[in-house]
Amino acid sequence: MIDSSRDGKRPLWLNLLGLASLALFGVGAYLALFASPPDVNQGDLIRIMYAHVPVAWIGFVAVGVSAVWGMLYLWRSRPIDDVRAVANADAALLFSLLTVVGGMTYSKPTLNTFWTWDAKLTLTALMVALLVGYYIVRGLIEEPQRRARVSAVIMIVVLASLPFNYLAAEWFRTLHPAKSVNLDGSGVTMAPEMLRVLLINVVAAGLVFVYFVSERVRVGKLALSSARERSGFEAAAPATGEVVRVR
Amino acid sequence: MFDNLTHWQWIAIAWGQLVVAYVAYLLYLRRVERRAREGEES
Repeated sequence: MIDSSRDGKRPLWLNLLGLASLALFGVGAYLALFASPPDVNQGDLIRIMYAHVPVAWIGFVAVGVSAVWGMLYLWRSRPIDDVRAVANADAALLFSLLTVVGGMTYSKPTLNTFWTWDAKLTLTALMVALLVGYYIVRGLIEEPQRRARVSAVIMIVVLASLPFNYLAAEWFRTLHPAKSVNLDGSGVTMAPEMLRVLLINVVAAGLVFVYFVSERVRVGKLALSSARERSGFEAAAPATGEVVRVR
Repeated sequence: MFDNLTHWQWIAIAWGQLVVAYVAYLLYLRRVERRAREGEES
């Protein structure tokens, strides 16, 4: 892989990844909007599900990956691990916000309400609040190593909340529909042609996630390199927190 | 305000959010990159 941390130029593979993510996003949107059959109960509104579910799943993945990089930072204190943790935290916040807003957009025409404080929705709102808190804390702590450590712990807490969020629709009464695709292997309660469109959109969202994170890491490395040039062993970081101690 | 929207208007809002978020995040990264480069030059 090309090391773009010095000059910050966007490597060719990253441009291609961006184009691929945009193309697959377009294909997924076309299939969802025009190729998928309408649902027997929801009619055309099922087309919102193809936007909502992949974004929610990838948001969970982003939290997990960010927490892993945070754990690695806690273990070995390498600045680049914090850069990668923040890059994934960006994606986690973006996808989680889209999950909430998209869910409200889905809920209003199907269930006649934007929001209700049941377990599933409350846990999702809590996840978004914790992710916002992640950035507030990063903005408040000036010392780079401490900032990276504290934010890593916050992301681990967010990760710990995910199993409850995932299972909340089964454990509690909620407006949120039960899962149509069960990861425990108990089956899929969705028509195959709809499942195909959903999975294509999951791959598209995954590719967008990988592109966003790669681009964010490139920019984070640029900022890290910039801070290295400005100072000796201790480098101050901007509020977004992509720069930490330089070895 | 939201009571009279058609199904396809809701669908357009839902998918439009993704397009707006895609563009907005890339613009945000441009800004972060520009600030990093300005820091480099100062």
